[in-house]
Amino acid sequence: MNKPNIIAGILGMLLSCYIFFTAMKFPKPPATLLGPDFFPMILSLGLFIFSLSLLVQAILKKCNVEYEKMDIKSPEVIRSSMSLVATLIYVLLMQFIGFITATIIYLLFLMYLLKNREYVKMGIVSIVVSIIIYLLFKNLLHITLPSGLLI
Amino acid sequence: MDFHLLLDGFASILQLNVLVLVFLGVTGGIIVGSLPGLTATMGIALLIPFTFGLPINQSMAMLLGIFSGAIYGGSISAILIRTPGTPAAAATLLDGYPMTLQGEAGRALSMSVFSSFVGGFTGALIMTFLSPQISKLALQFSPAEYFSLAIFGLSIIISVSGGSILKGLISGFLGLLIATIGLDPMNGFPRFTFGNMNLIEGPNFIPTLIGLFALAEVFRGVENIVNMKKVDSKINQLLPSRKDIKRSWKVILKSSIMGTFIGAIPGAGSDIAAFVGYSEAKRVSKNPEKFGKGAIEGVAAAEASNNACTGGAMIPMLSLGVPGDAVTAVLLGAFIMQGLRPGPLLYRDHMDVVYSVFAAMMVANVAMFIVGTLGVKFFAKLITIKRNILIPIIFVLSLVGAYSMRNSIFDLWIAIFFGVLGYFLQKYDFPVSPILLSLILGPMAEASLRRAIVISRGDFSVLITRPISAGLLILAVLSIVSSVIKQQRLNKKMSML
Repeated sequence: MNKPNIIAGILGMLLSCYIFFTAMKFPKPPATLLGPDFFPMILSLGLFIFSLSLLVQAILKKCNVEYEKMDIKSPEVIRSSMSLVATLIYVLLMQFIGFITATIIYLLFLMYLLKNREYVKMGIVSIVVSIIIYLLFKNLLHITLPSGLLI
Repeated sequence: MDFHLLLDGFASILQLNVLVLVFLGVTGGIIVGSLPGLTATMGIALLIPFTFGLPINQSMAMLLGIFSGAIYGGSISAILIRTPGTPAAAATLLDGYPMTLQGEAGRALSMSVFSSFVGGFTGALIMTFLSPQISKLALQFSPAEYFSLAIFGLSIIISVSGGSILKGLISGFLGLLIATIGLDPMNGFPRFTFGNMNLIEGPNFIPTLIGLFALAEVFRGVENIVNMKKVDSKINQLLPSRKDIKRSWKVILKSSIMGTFIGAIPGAGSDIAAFVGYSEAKRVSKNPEKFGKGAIEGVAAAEASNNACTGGAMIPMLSLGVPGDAVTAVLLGAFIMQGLRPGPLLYRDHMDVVYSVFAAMMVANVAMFIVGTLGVKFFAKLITIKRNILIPIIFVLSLVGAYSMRNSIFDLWIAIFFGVLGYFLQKYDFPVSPILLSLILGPMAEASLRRAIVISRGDFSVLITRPISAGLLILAVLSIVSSVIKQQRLNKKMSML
């Protein structure tokens, strides 16, 4: 059984149903014209058909690719989900404590997560990179990155 | 082709500040191209934000520099550590790496930069002569033809989807649906915006792109920490010897021309061009048994054709507004960001811009030759930069780039959303390139179809009764059939190597 393909097939079918029924409520144009609903409806039909084929293929074991079971407790999965959480916090944090400070913390955390233990080097890199990016965007590209209490 | 316009184009590029940008772009492109794990698409996505706010000809010059540099850059890591920096360099390592093992890294690298330059320049020249002709033909297009053209462009999804065509189609339709988010192109009715004002124009292109092609990659990079091998081969030669040039010039020229035309076919990217050029060089060689064991012609053929491909791929992108692969789709997006929609109208209304693109492409290749020759030792050192320093920096650059488009925190959430989506798609072998093509071509297909139907008063038959439109639809069908066959052949070839 090819679990990821089954899940993807079902998700695709659900999404296409949602789109189809939402698009049905879009305003209708005069009979001979195509309205805003036409394209999404056609596309959702396409997505539905292909998702269904994927599902059928997976159930009939037509696909020969086997996926490893996603182990939520494996260090790899923990690492990538930690990096996602850190990214979400980083985006929130930069609005409160400013771009440079938030970036330094974020870079240090990610390097640590990736098993870098050369603390002096990590410190220098994260401080220098944050400041360079900030100045580059501010002076060269005239884009001011968020600043909160600090910079 | 208009010679005066081309001279004007050169005049607009050959200025100190523009040249500085071209050189910066080339250097940045070579760096991202040479780093395994950073594809050319990702590199351009990361570097695009740096071209915002520049005048059009400057930002294009820089983008084309990045593009040319990135395709060449892949060969450096292919030759030195047997890991192609970009898929385009996969054919280069076949002979490049054996040369490194024989202590001839410098010889291979110098030939690589030389043939990349010749290939890229040839591609740019052919583009200059050919694309205006194609655009003239396209000027007669009505909405019906544009719709068929978009369908033809979308048909190449099949050929960029790699292993599973079904999964490629699902990605493509997902992309087309994402492209419908926002105001509809005719009546201005908001679709799937969930009442959010930020979604009124749909998810912004750059944050979406950065999410799918940069953040998704680094989420994967965090998962598998890879450490690069050390480069310990000496690079003792910067320019190819006269003997080597004499030996391979025929191969280089042939590959350059072939590469350009392969690049011009939508769906056949630079990786395919490189393999075709390589096998052709092997076929005509007097001693084909040396290929794969360090034949310099192999490196020359692969690099000349994959760089020639850049010019070729620009032809349909510029003259028809249809991208041939993921990289040109990104470039097309960048042009649109600058307020320029590539296509026949660009040739009619903005000839100056078009010719400065031609000039920029040639200048970019010269810059690539200079930077690649002089900087090769520096780039060789950079390849081995530790991943646990590089990946965090890419995280920050991606987010900053997504933000800088509209100074909007909302765009950061968009980028992260597509980053997570792209991560899962790639993990389960759903290709992401079709999404990118759909984002570009979807709105074009919808708007032109609806316009065509307005003009024909509800009669769908215009799509097949107008000859060019019908022809394009037939081409789309042919392209689907041929790319299915081609993909099967390529898979076989890849598994044999």
